[in-house]
Amino acid sequence: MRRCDTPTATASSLTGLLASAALAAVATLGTTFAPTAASAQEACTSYSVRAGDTLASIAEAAYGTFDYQTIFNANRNAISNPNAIEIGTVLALPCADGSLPGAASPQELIAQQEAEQANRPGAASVFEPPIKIVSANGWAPFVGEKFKGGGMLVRLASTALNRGGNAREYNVSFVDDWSSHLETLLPLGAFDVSIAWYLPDCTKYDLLSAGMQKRCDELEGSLPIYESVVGFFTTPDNAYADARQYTDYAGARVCRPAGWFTFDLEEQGLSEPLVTMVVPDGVNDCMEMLTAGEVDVVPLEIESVSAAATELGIEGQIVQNPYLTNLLNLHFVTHKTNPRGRVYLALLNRGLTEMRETGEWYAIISDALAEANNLTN
Amino acid sequence: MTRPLMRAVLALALVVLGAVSASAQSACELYRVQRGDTLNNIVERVDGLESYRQIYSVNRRAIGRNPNIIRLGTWIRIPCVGPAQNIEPVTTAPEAISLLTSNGLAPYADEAIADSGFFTQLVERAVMRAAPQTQVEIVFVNDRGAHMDVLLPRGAFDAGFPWAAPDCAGADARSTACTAYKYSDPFYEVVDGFFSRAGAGFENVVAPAGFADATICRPEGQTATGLDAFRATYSTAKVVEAATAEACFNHLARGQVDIVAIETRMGTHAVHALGLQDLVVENNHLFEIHPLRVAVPADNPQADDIIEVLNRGLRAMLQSGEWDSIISDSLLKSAPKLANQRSRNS
Repeated sequence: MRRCDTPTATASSLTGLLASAALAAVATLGTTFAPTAASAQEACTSYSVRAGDTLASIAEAAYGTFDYQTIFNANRNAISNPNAIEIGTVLALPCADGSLPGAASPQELIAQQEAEQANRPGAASVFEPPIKIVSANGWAPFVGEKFKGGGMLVRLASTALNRGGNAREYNVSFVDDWSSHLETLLPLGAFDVSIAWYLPDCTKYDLLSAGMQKRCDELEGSLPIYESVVGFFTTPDNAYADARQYTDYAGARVCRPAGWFTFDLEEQGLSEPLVTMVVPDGVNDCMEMLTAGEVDVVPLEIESVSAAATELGIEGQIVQNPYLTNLLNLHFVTHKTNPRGRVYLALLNRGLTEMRETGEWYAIISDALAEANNLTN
Repeated sequence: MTRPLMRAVLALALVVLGAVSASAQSACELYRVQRGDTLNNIVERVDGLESYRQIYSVNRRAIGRNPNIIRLGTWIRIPCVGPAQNIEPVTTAPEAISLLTSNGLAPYADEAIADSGFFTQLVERAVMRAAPQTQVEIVFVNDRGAHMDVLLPRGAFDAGFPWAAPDCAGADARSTACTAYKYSDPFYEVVDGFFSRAGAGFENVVAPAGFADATICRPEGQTATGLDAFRATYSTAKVVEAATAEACFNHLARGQVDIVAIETRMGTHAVHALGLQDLVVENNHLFEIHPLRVAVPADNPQADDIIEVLNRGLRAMLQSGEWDSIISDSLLKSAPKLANQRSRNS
């Protein structure tokens, strides 16, 4: 049995990065919420954590949802482990439009950055061909052609390629078969960058499944572009609803859509034969099987579950386990045999770094999440 | 190939008609092998292609050792057929070109690695493509510092590589590197960066000022391959030079320096050669990206012809996909696990 405590080492070091970024964002925006911490858990205010609070309970009180990813995003300087927030920590509870209390709106901040850094499209040449980027539909709220700019993660990539002094041409295509990205499209050079993939901690190579080892063998990743909170969802009356540790899920039927990551479960020992893995096509299938009693547990990003539950109208029928979460790092990836892979990751990374410094990273995330919420409501 | 993969490829064919054509055979596209295909009959259906070798040479990895056997469902790249594909040989090409490079530049140039490094291979192949009759001689002299200062100016060699061209249109116009040398088109773009010990905190530095108190190690003779943009970084940091990349990383492992400043593929290569991958991390925030070229002494009477040969051959390889193929194959060989996986699959 393998057991790894969350957050992983990678997650903690990322937290440091994002913390400084969030700090910089706050400084840029000139926010003044910190000294005036309120005691009410209301959107668009700041709140000082008290005994008994969890991020989910704060999100429930302030926003009426278990999805606290937004609070997490906005407070990366204050939260390292979402399961253990410290009493007295002052959290900025974002406003309905995603802006931080007392600061410019994400849209204003994005507009300001766009104006300051007018696009400088470079002329592609045989020596500097356009960067071929591929993503896929069906992964709300992260990516999808129905969203502005192809969705949050695609917007982060295309913005990064216009920041940090970058000026290369690029194009974005959607190929909806995720497996083909890694099996065919990247290795053959049909595309250079795929958006986006979870990469395991490759220093734990021997603990990983063959599929995840393959990612370590074949892929190179950008800086983490987004850190997702994975929650464990059940129906309220399910026997596994009260799990306190991962081993409590022994014997459970666990649902993960086909083609999705599994390394977080593997690292926690949640693989067959301890549990029975059920692998349908999509998130909605997992949620429907959950409410129909065909599976016991759905461990997925709280944002994806929230979006699916809203779409299916089953918000009241599921509960999130308050003790167990995993943190997952998303990356832009290239194939190790791509001749220009390192250059492209360097371009993306320096753009991302600048966006974190200016606060544009958080602004795009909150703008995109607000858009996704509007589309589903 | 696993069963899910087959499904994936089938689904792919249905989804991406816009990006990849599954039935038409035209140049510059990906093509999926159908029942009854051979390389010869594919070639016949593509205007401008003459020999199966044109397809095989850019798809060796996908096809394997035997061009007579192509597996159903394999994706292959149909080479681009442009004016440069059927290039006119450079009629004024020299009978022989001698090129000077150095060991210790793996994966770019080093006699100890496959094909003497992929930069070496690109340069040799470019001459072969544009001037098939020209003899190519590659000489390795390890004192890279002497290349531009002593060996090339004395006419001992026709050209040297790999070098970054300075800003000859601007600030560096009067420098010797600009007045005494002519440069080919860019053969390969590299990324210079910084490596440090995991957990030391330097991996999180996002501005050069973060290195102000650090001691930085740089392999000798690397200055011309970049990092000049970070000169400001070094102005307050202590810089030491070591003979090789490996020596710098050994200093780093022993705590004698804080940072190794080096081209990142070379850095990664050295870290793996020393088995230090769990100890050493790369800074993913600060980079300098720049192209490397072949430098020809300006007073070489055939300088322009040599540059013409190199540029014409390079362009042909870029358009045919041979450039990608050479580099991908080399990167594949330098990633052992990746190579094993490939051979299991095929």
